[in-house]
This record gives sequence, structure tokens and C-alpha cells, in this order.
Amino acid sequence: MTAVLLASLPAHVSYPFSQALSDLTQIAPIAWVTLTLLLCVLADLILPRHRRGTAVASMAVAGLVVSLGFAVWFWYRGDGHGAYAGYVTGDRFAVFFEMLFAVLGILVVLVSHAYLRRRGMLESEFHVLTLAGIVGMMTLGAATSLVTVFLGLELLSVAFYVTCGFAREETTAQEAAAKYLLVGGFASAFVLYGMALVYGAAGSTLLPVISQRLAHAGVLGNPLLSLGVILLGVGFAFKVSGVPFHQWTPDVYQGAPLPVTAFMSVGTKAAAFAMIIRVFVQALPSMTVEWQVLLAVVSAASMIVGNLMAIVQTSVKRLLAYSGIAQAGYVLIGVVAGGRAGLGAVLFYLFAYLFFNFGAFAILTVLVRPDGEHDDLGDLDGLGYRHPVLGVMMSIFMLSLAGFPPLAGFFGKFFLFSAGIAAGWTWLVVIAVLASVVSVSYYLRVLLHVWTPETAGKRLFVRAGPVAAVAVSAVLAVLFGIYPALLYGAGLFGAAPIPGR
Amino acid sequence: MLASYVPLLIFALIVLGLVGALITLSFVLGPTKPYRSKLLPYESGVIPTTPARQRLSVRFYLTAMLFIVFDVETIFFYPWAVFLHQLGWYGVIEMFVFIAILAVALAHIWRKGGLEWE
Repeated sequence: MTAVLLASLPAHVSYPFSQALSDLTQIAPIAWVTLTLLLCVLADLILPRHRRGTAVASMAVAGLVVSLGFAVWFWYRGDGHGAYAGYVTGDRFAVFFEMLFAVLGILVVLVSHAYLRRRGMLESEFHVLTLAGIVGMMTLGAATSLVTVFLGLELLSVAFYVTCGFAREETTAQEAAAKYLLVGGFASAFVLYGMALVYGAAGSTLLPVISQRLAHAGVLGNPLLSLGVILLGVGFAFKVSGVPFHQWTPDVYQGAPLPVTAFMSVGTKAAAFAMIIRVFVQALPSMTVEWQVLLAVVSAASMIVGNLMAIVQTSVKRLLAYSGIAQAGYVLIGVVAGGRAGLGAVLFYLFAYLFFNFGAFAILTVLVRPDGEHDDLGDLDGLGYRHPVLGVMMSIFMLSLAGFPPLAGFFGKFFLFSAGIAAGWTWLVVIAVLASVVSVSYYLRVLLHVWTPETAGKRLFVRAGPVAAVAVSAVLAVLFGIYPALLYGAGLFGAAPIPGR
Repeated sequence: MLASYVPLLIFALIVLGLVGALITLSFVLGPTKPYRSKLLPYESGVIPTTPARQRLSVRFYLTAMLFIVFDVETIFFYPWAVFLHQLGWYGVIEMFVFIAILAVALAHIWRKGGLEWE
């Protein structure tokens, strides 16, 4: 055994400290969140019970702010490169997603702190799991090897399997956790099988090497490679909840606690798109025709089914789940279109979507009572009259999701659709435009309930943390709509490290 | 490229056909005279006192999972030990970081009562 091991490894390994430091710098935002996570676990053990929750929440926020600082610094330096023998990278694409997930993590902790206290749930462990999910998502953005991609995918999935069932006594939460575990396991198996076949064809797990080897080798007629791409596509479609692999989404979103739903609807989706771009666009440009057709079909189906199913929902969480399925369809147009314009549009949309979709879920926390969440459309009745500020912010989120100018959602769709047209995917964009016209009806239906003239109703649960998170989201959703060039420019820079077609 | 797999396919078909034929033949032709002691799970072993489908304490899973975590840790040690001289002090530090992360997890389990057998 040892002899085999020695023979398969290089005779002399040398890894000086300077190299170690340089490698660690490239993943500093990820490493810092990991360190914060470990310190949070220790703080949870040491501190007295009544102070744990608040202390761990503040530590998590502080750690994420520092991580965001690292990411912003690296973004401006812009000299990130591969590290750890090419397994991860600190290029602008990775840093873009590290900034996105650090911001998302801060918002999630802000919302969940008040929510968990209200529901009387264990708090510190929840924040630790949130941080674990963030580490997994950041890893997916930075991964440049199939191994690292899978590592990030599992890290984020395992964190969500646990947090989905955090309301342990509720049967819906148990259903959500079990369903997500089984479906997530299936998706991971598909991805892993696909990776194995791609590795078999290319002989390497490093994404740039795969791209190089498949570019000029006689492997392109290999049906096993095509099968691998299809299996990867199926697994990715599960993760972005694209039709026909979306059935788990409404049930899991409804059963999971609100902060988890908000986190998952934005975070898993963004991380899965980072993974799709890394694996399909960066590693498999020679298989473009195969995955383009696959993703285009999933995109069209998601936009049609998601928007039609959302119309008949009565629970706001389920409505937003179906809307999320449709939104995944829009974003897939950008991936299918490809090029810098397409990928830049994807990054723009994911970052803007973070704010308006997260905000829409986060606002529902004001309806939470100790006995559970009250997220039926009827529960929203008169929200705009009982609390005008929240009503206005909910209107911003809904109109942005529907794609009204001058909000961020409008420019997101504009960039995605124009990239689609420029790349010649007119039929897909026609479906997208028709579908988003349909979507206006159910987003406005939510607003009809919000602005029903009615002031009676249960007291709202308004706390500083969630309201701050919602307000930040609303302000940025408007800001990126009025001044989209800022974020679109960042999106184009973020897409630059991915080799264009 | 796939043509090189054809012998493997033929081999698989032969194996499946042969095994299938043998099982079918022995099922059809063989005499069956079942009696009680022949149907026991262990025909010549200890006679079972209870059915095998019982509720199992969940702690067994916990122990098994803990075992796997530290088992994997041990497996990581072997290649590390082989290359220790070449990795130098960096290798030592790195491995202690790895152990420290696992130790945090162990402390968490311990403090939360995961190791108590009650």
C-alpha cells in the first residue's frame, strides 16, 4: 500500500511557507468565515446559556463583515489567481461571489436572530450552520476543480438539510428536511456520476485542464462524455430548482423556517449558478451545444411552469417558491447566451435578486408568532396601512420581482434578455417576456392584499434586525435600478476570468 | 473508443446468462423439503430468541458516526507521516490545524452530551 502511494506521488514535495501564505491569501474570505464558525462553536460551549444566542450572532456578523472587507479589498486589487495546485482560485469571479455571500450571510443572521427568539428555537447552532452554508457557497464560487466543486456543494447542502428541519416539532418542517435530504442526495449523486464520467474522458479534475484536453482530443464523439454532461445538467437543474426537477422546492420552502427559506432561495441559487458557470462554461466549452440545449429546455420549462403555478398559490411562501423557479429560468437564459454580456447579466441578476427576493421573504417575519408562521395572502391584508414603511418596501420587492422600471429587477431582466437576443436565442426570450407578463398578475395580487384598507389584525412583530435587513435590501433594490451601471460593470469584471466563447 | 468495451459487454452477458440459467435450473429441478430448523437464519448456529427487526437505539448511529470521523482522521495521518520529512514544519502545523478543527467538533459533541450513554 505504502509502496503504491509513494510511486504515485512526486518524489520530492516542497511547499515553503511563502507559498502557503500566498495560497491562504487567495482564499482569505473563505478561511475567515471558517475561522469565525469554529470560534462560534467554542463560544456556544463556553458562554452562559442566556447570552449565547446574541453573542454568537454578533460574532457571526463581525466575522462576515471582515470577510466582506477581505473580498472587497481583493476585488479592487484584482490580482487573484489559482492556489493550492489549481484547486481553488481567488480571481474576480470567485471574489464577486464571496462578496455576494458575505452580504447575504449578514442579512440572514440579522433576520434569524429575532425570528429564532420569537419562535423559541435554539439560536447559536443555527448561526453556526448558516456560516457553514456560507463557506460552502463561497467554495463553489472559488472552486476550479471538480473535487472542490463537490466539496462546496456538499458543505452547503448538509447545512441546509439540518436547518430546514429546525422547527423540529412541526410536521411540515420534518417533511421539508426529509424531502430536501432525499432530493439533495439524488442531485449530489447525479452530479458525482457526471463528474466521474467527465473525469474519465478528460483524465483530470482541474477545470482549465479539462477544458484544454477536451479541446483537441478525439473524445468528443464519446457518448460517455455526453452522458456525463447530461447527468451534471440534471444535478445542476435540481439545485437551481429548474423544471422538471423542481417538485421539492415549494414543499421545502414552505416547511423550512423563514430565514432558511430566504437564505436558500437566494444563496443556493446563486451558488448553483456559480457552479454551472464554472463547470459548464469554464471546463466544458467544447460540449457547449449539448449543455446549451439542455439548459435552454430547462429554462423555458421553468419560466412557463413556475409562473403558471404561482398564480394559484394562496401561501406567500409557496408563491415565492414558484416565482423563484421562474426566476431561475430567466437567469438560465444568460448562461445559455454566454459570452461576457450573458455571464455579466447573470452576475448582475444574482446580486440584485439577492436583495429583492431576500427582502420579500424577510418581510414575512413580521407576521411570525410563537405558534408559527402566518404567511397566507390573507395574513398580509392591510399591511400597508398598519405599517406604511413595510408596505412600501414590500411593493418595491414585488414590483422589482415583476420587473418594473426603475427597479433592479427590470435591469436584471433587460440585460439577460438582450444578451439572449444578441446570442440568437430569440424563441427563448419570447417565452421569457410572455412569462414575465403573466408573472405580473400574481406579484400584483400580493400587493392587492398588502394595500387592502384594513387596520385590524394581530400585532406585527417589528424588530430592529429584520427591519434593518429589509430596509437595506429595499434601498439597494432601488439603487441598482436607478444606477445599474455600477453593478453591471462589476458583473462584467466578475465574468472576465471565465474564458469567453 | 467504445468498441474496446465490447468484450466486456459479451463477458457480462455470458455471466448473467450462466448465473441465471444455473439458478433457474436448480430452482426448477432441485427438490425442496423445507422444515423448521432449515428455515432458521443460521441453520447450524445459535437459535435466535427474538426477531431481528427490533428498534435500535439511535446512539449506535452516533457512535458509528463518531468512529468514522476519527477513522478518516487516522487515514489522513498515513500519507502525511510518509511525507513528513519533506513537508517540514509546515506539514506539522497544517496537521495540527486539522486536528484542532476536529477537536472543536469533539468538544461540541462532548459538551452537548452526545457522548453520554443513557
